[in-house]
Amino acid sequence: MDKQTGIAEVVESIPRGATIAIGGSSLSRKPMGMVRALAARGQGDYTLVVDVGGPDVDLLLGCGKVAKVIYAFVGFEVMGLAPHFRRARESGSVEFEEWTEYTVMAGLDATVKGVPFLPTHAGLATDLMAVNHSFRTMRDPFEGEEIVAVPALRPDFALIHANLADHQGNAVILGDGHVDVLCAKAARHTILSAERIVSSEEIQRYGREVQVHRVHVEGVVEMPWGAHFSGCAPYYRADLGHVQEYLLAARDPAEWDRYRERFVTDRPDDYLDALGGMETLVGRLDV
Amino acid sequence: MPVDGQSRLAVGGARLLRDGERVLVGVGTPNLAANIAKRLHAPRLVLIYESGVVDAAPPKLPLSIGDPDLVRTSLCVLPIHDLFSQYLQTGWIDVGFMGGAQIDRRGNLNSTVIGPYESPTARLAGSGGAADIASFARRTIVLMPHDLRRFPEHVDFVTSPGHPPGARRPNGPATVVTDLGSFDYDEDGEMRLVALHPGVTVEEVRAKTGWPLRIAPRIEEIPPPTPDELRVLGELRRQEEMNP
Repeated sequence: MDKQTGIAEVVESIPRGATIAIGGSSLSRKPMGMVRALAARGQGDYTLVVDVGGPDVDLLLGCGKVAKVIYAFVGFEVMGLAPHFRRARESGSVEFEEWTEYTVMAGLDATVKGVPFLPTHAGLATDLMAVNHSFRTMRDPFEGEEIVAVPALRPDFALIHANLADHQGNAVILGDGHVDVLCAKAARHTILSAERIVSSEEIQRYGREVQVHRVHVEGVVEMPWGAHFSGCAPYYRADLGHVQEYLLAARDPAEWDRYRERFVTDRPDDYLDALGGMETLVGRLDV
Repeated sequence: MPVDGQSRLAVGGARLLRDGERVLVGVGTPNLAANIAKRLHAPRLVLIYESGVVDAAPPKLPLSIGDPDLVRTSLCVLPIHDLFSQYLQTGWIDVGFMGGAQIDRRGNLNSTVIGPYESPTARLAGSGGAADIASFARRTIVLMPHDLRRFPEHVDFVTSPGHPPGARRPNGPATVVTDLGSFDYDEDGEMRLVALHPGVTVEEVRAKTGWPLRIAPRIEEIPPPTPDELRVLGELRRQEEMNP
C-alpha cells in the first residue's frame, strides 16, 4: 500500500488538541519539516510528548500551538536553554508535566506491551513524584519495596524523521535511534518523513536495520533536509549557525515575527530557499 | 598559567575514573573529564553516551550526544530504551556524571526550576536522564562550580535523589568536585569536605556553602593538573572551538 502523502495532508489530519509524540533528541534528527508545518498551519492546543525535546517543542511553543508538554528535558544541548520553553514555563501559560527520560520510555513501552503501567525505581526520593500527578507509588507485591508505577503513554500521533523509507512506511534510521521506534509503536497514528524514499527492495537490503515497520506507519513524506536545523546522522550535522539565529530572534517579539515569516512554513522548498538552497547546506553541514 | 574553574572540575572528574569502568557521559564538563581520562590513565574506559552510543572513541571532542563522530567510532549504538532499561536500570553502568543548578547538603540535585515550582524565577531544562542515572548508576560524580547560589541548604526542587535520611536504596552522589575542593557524603548522608585545591581555604569553602559544612578529620590537598592533563585538556578545548 502506498502511504506517501504530502505535508499539507499531514497537518490537516492532526486535529486540534491531539497528543503528539515527537522523535529525535534535542538537536538530533528532529522531524523539523513536519514540526514547522504544524507551527505554521497546525490547529494547535497540542499535547506534546518528548523524551528529549529541543527546537521541536520550542518552535511549537513559540508559535502558540501547545497546551501541554510531557517531557524529560527540553534544551539545545551546548547551545543552552530553549527560549520559548523557558518563557512559557515561567509565565505559566502552558501546562508542563515533569518526567524523566526513562519514565517517558517506560510509559511508551507500557502502551507497546499493552499493560497499564510499568514499575521502576526512578523518581523515588525526588520532587518529581510531588508535581507529576500521573505517577503513583505502590508496594512491590513480591518484595514489599516502594516502587513507582509509570502510567502508559498513548499518543494520538507520532512524528518521526528517518534517513530512508519506502512508500509502504518501512524505514531505516542510520544514526542514533533515540525513542523513535517506541513512539512509532505506541502512537495510534505514526507519520514518517524521510530524507529519501527508496524502493522496497532497497530498504529490504538493510535487513534488521529496518526498525520502523509499515504496520506502525500511516503516512510517509519525502523530505530532504527534513531534520534541519537539527542534525541527521550520518548525513548532516546540526546547524549551529541557524540555532544562533533562532536564539537571537527569540529574544525579541518583532525579530521573532520576522523569523517566523521567513522560516516557519509548511513548504519545505520555501524553507530550503530561505536558507540559501540545498547546495549551501551541503557545503556547510555535510559530514 | 592559572588553572581555571572548569579545568579543576574536568581534571578532578577525570582522576576519579578508573581504567575499564563504564561511564555514562553527558555534554559539557563531564565530556571533557571522561575524554581526558581515556586519553591518559584509563585507555580502556568505556564511554557511553546517553544517546545509546557504547564504547565511543571520538577522534575529537563530540559537541553533541548525537554527534556523527560518536556514532562512527563506537562499538555499537544501542536503542536508548535498551540502554536505560537493560543496562542502566540493572546496574551495568559504573559511573554517572551529574551536574545541576543546585546541590544541597544531602546531595539532592536540582535541574528543574529556581524558585517555587508553581512560580519559578527561572525554568531549567528538566531532569532528562538525571534522575534515572542518579537512581541506577553504581556511583555518581557531581561536577559543579562552587558558590552560595549553587550550594543552598535545601535545593528548590529535588530533580535527582541525594542521600535522604533512612534511604533504602544506595543512591545520591559519591563524590562532588568543585572549583574549591572535593567532597564526599558521610554515614549520615551529609556532604563533607575532604580535599582542597591549592590556595583554597576551609573558610572560603564555608563562606560559599549555604549550611554549616562538615569537614573531614584530615583535609588533603588536590595536586594541581599535571602537564599531561593540561595538554590533553587544551587539545580537547581547541577541538571544541573548531566545531562550527
